[in-house]
Amino acid sequence: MIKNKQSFQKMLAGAFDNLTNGNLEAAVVAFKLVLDQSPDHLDALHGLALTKFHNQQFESAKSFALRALSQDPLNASFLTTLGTITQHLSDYEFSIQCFKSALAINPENRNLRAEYILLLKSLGRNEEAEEWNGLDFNLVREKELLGRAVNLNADDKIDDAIKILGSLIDSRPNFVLARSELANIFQQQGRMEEFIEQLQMILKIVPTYTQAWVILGDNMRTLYRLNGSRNVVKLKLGQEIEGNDNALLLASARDSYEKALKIKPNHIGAKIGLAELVLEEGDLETAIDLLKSVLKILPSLFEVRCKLAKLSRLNGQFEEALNLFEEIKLSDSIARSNLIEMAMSAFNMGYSDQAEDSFLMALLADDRVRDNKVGSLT
Amino acid sequence: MNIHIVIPVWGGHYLDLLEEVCLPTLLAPGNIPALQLNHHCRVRILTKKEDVARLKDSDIFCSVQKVCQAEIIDSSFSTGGKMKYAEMNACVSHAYDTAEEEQAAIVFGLADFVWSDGMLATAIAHLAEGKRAVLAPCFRVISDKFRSDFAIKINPEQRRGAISIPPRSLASLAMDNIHPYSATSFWGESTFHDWPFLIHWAVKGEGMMIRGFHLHPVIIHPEVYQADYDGEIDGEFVFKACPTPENIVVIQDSDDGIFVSLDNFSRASLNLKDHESERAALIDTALWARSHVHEMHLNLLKLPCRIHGSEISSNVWSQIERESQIVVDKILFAHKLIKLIEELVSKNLHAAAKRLSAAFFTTNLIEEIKVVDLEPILMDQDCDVEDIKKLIAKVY
Repeated sequence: MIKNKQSFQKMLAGAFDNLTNGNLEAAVVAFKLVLDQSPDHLDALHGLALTKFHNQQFESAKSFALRALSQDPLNASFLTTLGTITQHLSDYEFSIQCFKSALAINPENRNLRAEYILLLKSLGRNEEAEEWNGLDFNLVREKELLGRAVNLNADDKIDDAIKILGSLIDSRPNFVLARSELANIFQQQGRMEEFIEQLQMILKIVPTYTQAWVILGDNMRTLYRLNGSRNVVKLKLGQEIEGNDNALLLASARDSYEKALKIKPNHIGAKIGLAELVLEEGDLETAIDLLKSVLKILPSLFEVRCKLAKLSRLNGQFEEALNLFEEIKLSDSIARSNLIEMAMSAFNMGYSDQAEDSFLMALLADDRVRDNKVGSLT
Repeated sequence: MNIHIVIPVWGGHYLDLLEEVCLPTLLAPGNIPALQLNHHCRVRILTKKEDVARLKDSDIFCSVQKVCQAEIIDSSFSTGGKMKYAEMNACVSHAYDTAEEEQAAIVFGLADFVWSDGMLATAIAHLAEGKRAVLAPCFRVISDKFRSDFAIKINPEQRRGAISIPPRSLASLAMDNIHPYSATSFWGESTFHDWPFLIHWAVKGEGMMIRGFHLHPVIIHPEVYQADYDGEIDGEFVFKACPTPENIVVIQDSDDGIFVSLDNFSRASLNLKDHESERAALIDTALWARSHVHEMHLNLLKLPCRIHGSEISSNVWSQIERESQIVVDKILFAHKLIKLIEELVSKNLHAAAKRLSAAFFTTNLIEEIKVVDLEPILMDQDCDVEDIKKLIAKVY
């Protein structure tokens, strides 16, 4: 047991010393000790990925690198490590993509650039390699302008921030940090289509950004629902529907969730999004299976438990629905719709006392607790 | 009469809308110029320091100055930061205080509003008849689509200042570009917005009917100036400023005037609910109303407002009005039931409250507006029968 922060840091430093000195077994033990205390510790995950790589355990190395990357998707070092690992796994396309993403984030890293050029040349992709030779970036200026845009956004001077970010992206289209900031602004402003466009561009540059895939999927799905409602109303008003590509949005959402799951098979957000999507298509059984698999990964997820209970009730599994609700510790943050679901499940089971209690609780609930929120990049 | 047209605005996007559509349509002959014939208008734009110069230099502001007194006020007294509603409230409070000094009527001309020609003339005619507040429904349209269609329809010669858009043209254009927020406010659709301050019904080929808890003030000549401004312009503020219900009038036919608000595609659209049945929609709407509307808003819901871009077939509209009135009756009944349950809880009659709650959610009490069936539900409790009777009488 590591007793305090100081000894924790000491343990981590010792692990890296062991790695540097080639004491790989000792390094693994030390990194794992750190992860026992703090399972998502980024440096320990990255350190373990590097140790496993040096130990030629490439698959294991890859999984630790992906775990680190899923928490800090725009970290150039993690991307570089992943690129190096996958190169040794002969997954050259993935490796190239990782290096390319890392260079988009940190183009001044000359060693990385050299390694990338070498890889491209070894694959006979000389033209692409030449593109990177002799490129020069004014990174100091870029960072200064990016910082200014961030400050302008914080001061609510949105238009000025957008102008600066736009000019940064014009001069370097793969400047992913500028795109990320711009995407955040568009999301805050409710400019959904522009937000989606930036997300798509970010994902072209950093395809390993699992959270961005999930958010893209969520937004595509929302867009599908909004367009769908609009189309129904337009027909009711006797108007023509513009275009007919709404089904494509759902297909894009599915594609986004699947891409996230390909990189991280246990991505909770992607599984939940996919469950919502298949529900949209009327596939109740698959939605239930997906949500159950989420609860296996993280049993404490309150909203998922509520959603699963609702679907179970709709599927006629009243007892299961009620059991799920009973496992939930009710709190002030429960949405009224969930309280109604809980009451309906009890009512369907014939537990009238319990149902009456829950119905009254639902009726008096604080309706400021809202559900169906869409995720954010930050 | 002095009339203040108050416009809080900041940020490039909203300044664009103000210059492109809001002020030009307010300058249409049947709006500010019509008021100016017999009254003294004062356009008061409240904005941030950095936007003052742009507005002062704009052609449209010069056009406004040619028609009436106009001023741009640095709203640095407001809170600052990102609390846009708090800033808006501070601006409106400031404008309200100034209006009180002159006992002026107030037009709240939000920057993202588009006004049909003649709406303010209609409103001032109501004031001339002794009314103190004129309200109208304001639904949302998709900003960029509307603006591009609007630009095509406008005669280039009109672009020098005032833009006159007749009510039917504006109604058609707006319905063509209806915003998802408004599209998810149509009664009977399975996907419904969880903030149902307006409820719509489609009238195929002719338009839509709107009933609303929150209607936007077109003009207010306050009976009470010391009303504290807090919350939304279309919230309780209207009833604090004009507490006499008979003095409030609603524009119920878009031929008499219509305004719409421009909004980005997705803004405020992300909280959608799926209703399994009409009962679920009735319950959700009534519960929302219990938490978010003033008692007087409930009366506004009873007034159907016709939005149409062509001649109307009165029998079709009458039928929709009747159908929607039934929905309104059910919502208001459900609202009363909620109040009754709250009263029961406050009197510690928990058993009765629980039983009625269960009936509220699981029986057809609401759909059938079963007032008479309440007593058996409530009387079978260990509580004083007379107390229950008094409570029922109080709520109904």
